[in-house]
Amino acid sequence: MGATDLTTKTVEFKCIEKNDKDTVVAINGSNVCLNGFKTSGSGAYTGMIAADCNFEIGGVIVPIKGGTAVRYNKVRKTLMEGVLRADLIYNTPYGEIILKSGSTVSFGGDKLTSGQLLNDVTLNVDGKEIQCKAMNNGEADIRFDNQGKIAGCTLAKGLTWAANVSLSLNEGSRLVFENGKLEQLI
Amino acid sequence: MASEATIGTKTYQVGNDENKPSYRLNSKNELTAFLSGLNNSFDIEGQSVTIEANSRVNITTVDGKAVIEKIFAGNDATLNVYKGSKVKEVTIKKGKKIVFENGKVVKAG
Repeated sequence: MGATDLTTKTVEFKCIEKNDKDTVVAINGSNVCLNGFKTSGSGAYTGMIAADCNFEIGGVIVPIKGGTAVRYNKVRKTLMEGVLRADLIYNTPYGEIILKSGSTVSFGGDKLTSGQLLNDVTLNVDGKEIQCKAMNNGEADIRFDNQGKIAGCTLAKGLTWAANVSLSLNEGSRLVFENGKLEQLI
Repeated sequence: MASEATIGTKTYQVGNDENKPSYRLNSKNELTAFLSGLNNSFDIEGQSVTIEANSRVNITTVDGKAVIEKIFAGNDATLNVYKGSKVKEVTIKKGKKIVFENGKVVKAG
């Protein structure tokens, strides 16, 4: 059966009525039923997850909503993308963020790579406080690379960025990081 | 969304374009470029050359200080271009690049 709480890792749920494209696959150590299973790019597969499921990713229980599309890496057997069925508190190296229920989250290996924020959040990046904005536009508000280093967010509040030149940045500026270092402001 | 940057003693308006970065920095946290906004100009040998709006202005760091290295002209201009000990007067059209080194134009057009 699918998950009935938000804290217990799903071990297994089988397909009730198994059709041609229904299959049980192992994702992050959970054996789950996918409907309409098909390939989606190099090594990636998609399908509709048949029931609510709690995947354990990097030690975090990630509650995924049944009846929604998931994308996973068939070789690594890890979730790449899914839809949250509850708000998810996630600890990043820069501070805690809350990802919004009903939104899409993406993972690279065992690290969060993108998600939509429930609220604006303050992160500490290289000793600088950055307020990232919850845009509520259906797109990812915050991005990380596969090493868990911040890759981008949009400023919720203007700030002065001290480079070799002092840069005044307005609310709404988009920050793009490369290898955890600020590289572009859009 | 970014607003302005002060290079040396002069403040420049920074452009905002969804598809172009307003600022670029290197891994040493040094500014390497900004997107020119409106009404920016660069003074060289007593004349002022406007910087083309929405063009990239390249910055280099000399002795820890940011200096402008390349702009795109926002108007036609006639400039002295220095190549070694030679100086040549060059007229360039709007939109052409101008490269600076040690406060002199070393390439134009």
